[in-house]
Amino acid sequence: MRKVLRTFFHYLEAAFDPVFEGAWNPVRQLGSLTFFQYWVVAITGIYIYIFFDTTVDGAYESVEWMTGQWYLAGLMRSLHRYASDAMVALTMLHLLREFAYGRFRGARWFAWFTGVPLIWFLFFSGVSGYWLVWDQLAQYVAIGSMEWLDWLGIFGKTIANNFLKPGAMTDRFFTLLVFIHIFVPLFLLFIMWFHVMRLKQPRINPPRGLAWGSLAALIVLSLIFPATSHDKADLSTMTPVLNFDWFFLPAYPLFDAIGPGPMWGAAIGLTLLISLAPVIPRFHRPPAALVTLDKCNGCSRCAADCPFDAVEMKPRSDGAKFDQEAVVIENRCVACGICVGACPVSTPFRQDEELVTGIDIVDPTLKMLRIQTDGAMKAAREQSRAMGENAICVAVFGCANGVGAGALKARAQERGIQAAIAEISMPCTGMLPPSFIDYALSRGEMDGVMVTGCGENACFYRFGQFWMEDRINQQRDPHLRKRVRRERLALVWAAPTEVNKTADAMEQFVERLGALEKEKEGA
Amino acid sequence: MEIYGVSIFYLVPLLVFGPLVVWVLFKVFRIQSLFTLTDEERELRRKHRALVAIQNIESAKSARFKRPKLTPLRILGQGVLYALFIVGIGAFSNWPAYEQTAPGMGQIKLSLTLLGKRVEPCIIRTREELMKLAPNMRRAKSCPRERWPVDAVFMLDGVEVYRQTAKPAGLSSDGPSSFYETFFVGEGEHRVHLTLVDDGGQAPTKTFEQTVRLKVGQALAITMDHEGRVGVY
Repeated sequence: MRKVLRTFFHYLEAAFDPVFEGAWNPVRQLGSLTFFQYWVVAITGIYIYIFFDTTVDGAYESVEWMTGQWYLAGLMRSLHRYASDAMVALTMLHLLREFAYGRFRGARWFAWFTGVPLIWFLFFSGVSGYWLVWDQLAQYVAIGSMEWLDWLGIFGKTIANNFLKPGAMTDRFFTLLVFIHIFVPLFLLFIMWFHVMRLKQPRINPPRGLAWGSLAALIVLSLIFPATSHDKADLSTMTPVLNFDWFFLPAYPLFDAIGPGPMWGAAIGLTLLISLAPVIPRFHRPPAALVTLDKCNGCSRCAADCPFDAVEMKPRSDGAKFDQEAVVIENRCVACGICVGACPVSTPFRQDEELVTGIDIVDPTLKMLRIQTDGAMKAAREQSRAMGENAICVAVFGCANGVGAGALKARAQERGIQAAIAEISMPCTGMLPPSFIDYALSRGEMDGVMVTGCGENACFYRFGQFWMEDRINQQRDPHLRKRVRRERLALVWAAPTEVNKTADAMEQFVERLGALEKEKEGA
Repeated sequence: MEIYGVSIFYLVPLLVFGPLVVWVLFKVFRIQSLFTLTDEERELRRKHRALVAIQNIESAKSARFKRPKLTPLRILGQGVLYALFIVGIGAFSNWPAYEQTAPGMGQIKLSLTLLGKRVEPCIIRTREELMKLAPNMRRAKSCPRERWPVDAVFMLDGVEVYRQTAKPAGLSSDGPSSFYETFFVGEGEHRVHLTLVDDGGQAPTKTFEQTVRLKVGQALAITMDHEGRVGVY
């Protein structure tokens, strides 16, 4: 199921790419867009509250008055409603996408696990909001909610009795509902903070253009199709047909169909199922990164680049002249290797037999990466000799979650691209120290280097492709040396479904390298 | 079992959630680091934050933070996708309508909350018995708390549609027993008949019978007033 979902999201992202390009792609901004909708709901909610009458008799009339003022209070009401609905839709898509991409296990369990109560609080916030309109739908929702809670038998008396006959509902009870509708969303925000607290630089704000675009779209919807109410609630009547908000209220028809007991069973079962997803089936966490103090100068670049805050700087413990040393927090480490790429000691040019760096992962170690690189380049050179004098040699450094160097090589061969490809794989391209590019071009006698990774702005380890680009563009330490000719380097970000896109890029790159070789020969 | 007059059940949440909260505070939030930081560590943290800031300032110059080029075709494409987004939100926010019952129906709700009789009768303590108790506990009348479950049978137009036994609420089974059920019925006259047994016996201790006229969309409630009399409202 996950594979199908993953493929679906890969294609969905690819479909949005030509229109939104890179960071603006909304499918890659589902979490941050949800945060943004929260702020829209909060601000419009504060505005609505100014005019809202918190008494049973006055609530409906005050909402109706707001609805009548279509250009301001009515617009705010509609925005409040539609942004809440959008929040539900975006949250569900975000959950499915993270599940599809496997971003819920290992060190990521915390964000996943704290996301589960978020869903409950989101629904509770929305449902309590529906009560406050105090129309026929509010009556239905309020009674249904009370009946559902009553099944637990923890209240002593049947709380649904508060909605039994006209006059049973008191202003005091209604004020309690208002309090719930303010308190629960505040708590929701608190849990949202928990949800992202273990991520470094969490994306809680979407790109400005996307934020404005989604807000403008919801304003248009609010103006064209304003939110309205049913008739005023009357406990002596029931409404057989209700215009329904299927984002917030789908549990209620189900409740009507199966009753409170099975409904609690389904809700708790689903909650447990989602909560336990990180540990069922058992997840074998890769070993965490290791620090070799002899090689660590405490520069803290690994700590700055780690996407999961798994590296801390502590006072030096070995008496060396440096102030600090890197310490890995094992239960946060995802073994992506980005810290290895950040370490200035990670250079393949060093002659040490062991090639030990300041911070390293277990599989592959930097040494293993150099061995892999050397072996692949040697094979490519031999292949190139077999292909003839003009064959181009390209080293492809690929990550495990993108197209992958192996898949690219296979497709390139299918297409008959005249190049000998040295394929080198690692967990994340962020693991690749920029000096490896220099190494491949100078020592490895490669004509060009291609670095491939996950789809644009969709790095499985969050920052791998960002840091890679910045290191190459000399905007983040460690830099790729100036002497490396950038025209012999290509970066391709593509999802696993975009093998053809990567193969196209390879074809163009090989042509460019061919032209460069001819220029070189001419000179 | 009680400790200083407080049932041990009340301590269960504390015993279960207390260690959990402490575990979360120490393992997840690592609050111990708030108390154990030395000046040197604080200085290191400050330096580290400064370095991260420098790294990020450099990274902020990256092309990925620049606004994508907006061509007319892209604006059009985005417009179409935003339109699809609001159509989806607008549609499922109101449609399709939900029918909670077939047309032409009304609703009768049975909602009763009542105390069953005490399982054991109250006793009057003798003077000797009272003197054995602590001064603040010396009450002449002592009533065991446990109450009988209540049986209810509800018949609609001569047909039994509901039969339930409700246990008394509370850990000591001393609270009220509650019944709650909703019936969707057609409009017109209906004969309702309710029988209650609240003393653990077989014979009804309370009965109620009435003919009600129900309109389409009307919601009637068979419930009790403040004095415990059953009625239709």
